[in-house]
Amino acid sequence: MAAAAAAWARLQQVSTAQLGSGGSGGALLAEAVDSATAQGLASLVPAQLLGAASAALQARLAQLRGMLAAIDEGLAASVGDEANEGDGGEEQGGLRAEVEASLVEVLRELCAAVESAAELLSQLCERILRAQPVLAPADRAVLLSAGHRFHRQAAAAVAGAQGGRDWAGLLYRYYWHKLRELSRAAEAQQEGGLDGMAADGELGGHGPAMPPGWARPLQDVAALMRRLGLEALSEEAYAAVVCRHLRERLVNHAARSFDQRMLDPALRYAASTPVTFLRLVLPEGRASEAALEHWGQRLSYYVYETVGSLRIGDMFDIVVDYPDSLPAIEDIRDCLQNTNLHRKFVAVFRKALQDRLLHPGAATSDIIQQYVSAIKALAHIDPAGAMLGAVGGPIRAYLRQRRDTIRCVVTMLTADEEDAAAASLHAELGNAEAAPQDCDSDFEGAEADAAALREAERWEPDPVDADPSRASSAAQAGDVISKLVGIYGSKELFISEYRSMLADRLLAKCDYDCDRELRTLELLKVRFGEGNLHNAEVMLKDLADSKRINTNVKSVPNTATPLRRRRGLVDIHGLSATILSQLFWPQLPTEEFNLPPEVSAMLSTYGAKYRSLKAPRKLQWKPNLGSVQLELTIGEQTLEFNVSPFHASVLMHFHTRPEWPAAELAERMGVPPDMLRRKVVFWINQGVLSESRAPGHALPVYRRNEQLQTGPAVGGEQQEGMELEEGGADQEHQEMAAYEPFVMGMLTNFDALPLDRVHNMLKMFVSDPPYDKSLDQLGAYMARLVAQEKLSLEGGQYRKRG
Amino acid sequence: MNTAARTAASPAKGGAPDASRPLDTGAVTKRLQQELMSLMASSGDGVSAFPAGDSLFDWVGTINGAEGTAYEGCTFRLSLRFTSEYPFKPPAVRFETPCFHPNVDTYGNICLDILKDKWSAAYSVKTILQSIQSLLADPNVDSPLNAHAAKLWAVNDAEYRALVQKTYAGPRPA
Repeated sequence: MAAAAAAWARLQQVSTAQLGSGGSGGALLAEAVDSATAQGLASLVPAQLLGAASAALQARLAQLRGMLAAIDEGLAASVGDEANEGDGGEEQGGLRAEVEASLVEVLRELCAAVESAAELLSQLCERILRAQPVLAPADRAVLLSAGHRFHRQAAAAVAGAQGGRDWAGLLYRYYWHKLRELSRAAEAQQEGGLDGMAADGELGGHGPAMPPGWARPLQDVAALMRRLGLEALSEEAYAAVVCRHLRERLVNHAARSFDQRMLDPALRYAASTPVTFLRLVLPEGRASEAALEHWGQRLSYYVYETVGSLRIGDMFDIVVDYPDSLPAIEDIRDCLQNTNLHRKFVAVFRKALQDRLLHPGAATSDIIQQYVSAIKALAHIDPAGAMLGAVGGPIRAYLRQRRDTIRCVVTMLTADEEDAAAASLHAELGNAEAAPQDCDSDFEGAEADAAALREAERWEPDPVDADPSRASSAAQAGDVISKLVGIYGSKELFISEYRSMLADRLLAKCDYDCDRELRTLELLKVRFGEGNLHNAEVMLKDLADSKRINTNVKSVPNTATPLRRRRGLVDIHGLSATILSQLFWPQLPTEEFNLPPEVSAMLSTYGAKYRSLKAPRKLQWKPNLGSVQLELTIGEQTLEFNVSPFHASVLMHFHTRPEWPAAELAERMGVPPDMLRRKVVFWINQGVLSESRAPGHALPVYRRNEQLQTGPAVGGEQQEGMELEEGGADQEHQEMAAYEPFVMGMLTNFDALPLDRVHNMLKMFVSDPPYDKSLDQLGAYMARLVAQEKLSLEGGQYRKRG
Repeated sequence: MNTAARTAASPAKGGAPDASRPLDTGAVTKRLQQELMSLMASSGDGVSAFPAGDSLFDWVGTINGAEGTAYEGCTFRLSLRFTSEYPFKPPAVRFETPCFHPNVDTYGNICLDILKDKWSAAYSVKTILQSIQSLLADPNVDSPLNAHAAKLWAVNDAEYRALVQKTYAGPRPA
């Protein structure tokens, strides 16, 4: 036992000493191993030897640690932080040669130490095996694999010595630096022409000319890392470097320019410099070609993904720039074909729309414009329209909430040329002529079959991950108009809005000229069918007829036969009438007021002449719908106005009297004083009239100004829209007022009634005018009566007050 | 003219709920509808009436006691039942609100000649109610339904008034 202990002690001593010194004196160690083996300790020897070798390596690493730290620092200083994208590196100059050299040296040394120790271990183990032919299989396996185990342990130790992350960082910085040098050289060469092409054999004629000896250390580092068994670390590092390099290049070179393709140059670039770099760091030989091939694919996928992500991030602006941004849209299309970014595309674009467009600050017309651009842009990316369904959904939903959407769409469709954006939509209406919405279903034949076949051949499945909730088989992605009209799901709303707009436009015309409206109507007819637009057609025809009738009426002399006996005929040259077929026009607002006698005389003269021409037809005047061209002379100034007949009538009364008390004028006009004031405020603000209020009088006095007065605008003129709205509500209340006696009568005879009972009884017993209101309308009206203190509402029961 | 045209068209509408009644009710409903219109158009006068529920043949009437009479400040509810022979037969009219009056019994039945033998097709809901209103102020004590009231009416005005108010304030029909 003593001998064994002595031999073991000796082995420990010798192995520590010999392995620690770099494994030079193999003979002594071999002797110690032999003696230990002789003592029957063979199975323990490899563990001891491994332990000693590892300890020695650790010691060596500890010595190198300082150097590695210095190298790391040197590299870090020259590479700069990733955050500030390597600008710092520019000034720091290049990678210092000595840093690079010492890195290679350290790696070489480590490699040598590990390999020699492994070699020694293998030899010793073989020796033991030879000396001890009879051994347990487990022990034999341990002995045979000692060299490999040491290699693995050594790799772990090296990685662990600096910490795996630090090695990764160090290598990352080193590779990063080398790649940048390479790409700079490539750029410089591209700028400087092709001279010096392939001067350096080191790059095998694949890359730019580099100084002699440039590639050697890089290849060495990569090779040594492989030899140390740290290939994974090394690969991770250079993969990250190449990707970062590509991304930076893409971001710097192509971001924010939508009018150029980004993808093709990027792909070309990915196949040049990064591949040259990879050729250097990958092991040489036949395997290298396959690996490069694989890397090429990886890089191009990376390019697709990066370009796709960049473009997708800018999608909102790309759509804004459409159609100038067509190249960028094509980039996205190609990227989406090669990657699976669809979901991201939808999510990002939707988010951008939500954040930047669908908020109260955006004008409806802008939203529609952007929607139109998006429809067109997405038609390039995804002709099937599935993505449009996913992206456009929120826009449609949002537009549906806006009250002026239809009006905006109609305005844009029928807009005048001056508005460029809107005009494009108008042009779209023209373009779409080829694609009428409802095809004639009875149109069957060889041609239709052929068309269907062509259609079927062009069919492509929907992008899988676009939007599963939507079937797009019938989608016509490019048909902008039908998409816009489809916001509300039916064309009836659209058409009725078009009618009321058309009515407004036609009524505002003074010259009967409606060529443009006619053209728009013809285009709409192609799209919506003739029947739906019959009313609009009649409206336009009314205008054309009015022009003719107007001329005829004016050419009838006051002394014509049927008129001769009529008195009070006046000259009507200043008057033109638009004659409407009321049935075909939308409900027009009515506003009762008395026209000045001069104007009434003109109207009745016109009416009489019309009657003489067109009997038994008679004219029914709607004075509030007309317009009056005025020329006012105040003091020295002459002003021209185009105002409503009401405004003009107000002013005419000041011909005869310079001053009117509000009540008197209101009575003369046949309107309530507050309504009169609403209109008079216009003239006050124009400086034509002025208002004064005598103390103690509730109502003001209006006075004609002899000089134009420009003062601060008087409040009280409500927004036109408000006025209209209020008018609408008023009109409704007026209609409801017909039922007030019934409501009151009911509540006189019943103590209290709930709303639905009132509603039902009105429905049942009131026939003049027939009760056709909704429960809500009645509720609103009852609330008004409650507010007027005519009724009270307690516990859902209405009671009469007083 | 317009109004006339509209009301002429109304029987179909007004008659719809009474489809179960004899066919000639069309004329009756038309007449009742017209009466309702004119009644609503001329509100005031302290009388009012309105169909009670689903049918035009049952009405609820309201009479305010005339000023200066014992019934001042009182509001009486009445029920009016029309038959399909209206207006050639009078409706059955009775007080729903208790009323202390020589010509009204405790069940609300009214003794009024125009509702019986003096009825004429020229009378209307409105004239019936106005007649009852004036009957309140000017009772016919010769043919009393409520003898106590008839006696008091002639002799003790104060007690008469007190009884009117007491009866009026009694339990009211729902």
